[in-house]
Amino acid sequence: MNIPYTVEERPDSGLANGKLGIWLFLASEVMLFGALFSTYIILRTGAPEWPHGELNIWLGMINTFILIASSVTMVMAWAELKLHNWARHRLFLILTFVLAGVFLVNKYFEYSSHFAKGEGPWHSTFLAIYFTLTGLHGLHIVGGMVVMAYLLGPGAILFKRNPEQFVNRIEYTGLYWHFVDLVWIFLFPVLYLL
Amino acid sequence: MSLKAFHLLFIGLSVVLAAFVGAWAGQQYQAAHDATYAVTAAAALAGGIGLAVYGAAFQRKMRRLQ
Repeated sequence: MNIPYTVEERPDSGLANGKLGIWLFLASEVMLFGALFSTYIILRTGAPEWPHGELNIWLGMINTFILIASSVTMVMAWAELKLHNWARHRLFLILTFVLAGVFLVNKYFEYSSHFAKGEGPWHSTFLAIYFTLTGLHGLHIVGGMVVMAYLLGPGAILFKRNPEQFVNRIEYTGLYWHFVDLVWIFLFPVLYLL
Repeated sequence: MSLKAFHLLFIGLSVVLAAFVGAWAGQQYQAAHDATYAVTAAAALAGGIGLAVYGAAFQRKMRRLQ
């Protein structure tokens, strides 16, 4: 039995099932991160003083650049697939995967330097919310990498069976990836600069 | 919203972030007179302009993709 509306748009919503699904999922993610951002604001406005200069701003800036670059490679992976350039699609998807990996390596170094100084989440309110927000964001990066690895590996076979559905899957992955990058665009100035 | 539109929104917000980083670095330079901040401000502003140019080029090139 075929599942309807995996490629064509539903007449009621005007969207394919996958796109409706990914946007519902992203809406729930907005609520999750929105709740944590609200927590941050409440903690910060209620604190008699708030620490500054505890984070490595330069590493944060490099990671911001990496994620912006990864959003470009992700959208290029989708565009090349739409143009039936399979090899270039793979190249851009691998590049996105690698950039995500570099982001996590930088994050590892950042976390390590804090833990080496005994500055874990228990150290202060600021570090507690910092590790919570960036840790959750890091888990989302890992999730995106798992999906990309699947689409580069066993999931790629779908392109032979149903190319349009595969293109849609790449687009949904791209939407998720852009959301994860967008969260960082807010996290970076809030945690590192302000 | 399509990936194309979301990407353009993301690039737009990245331009805003680059402008914010530029302003922040400029403020730090005025306070500390550290040349690193001046370089950062210039790089952020250049990056913001680069992103805006990229966004416009992306929109033009992607018109043929539905």
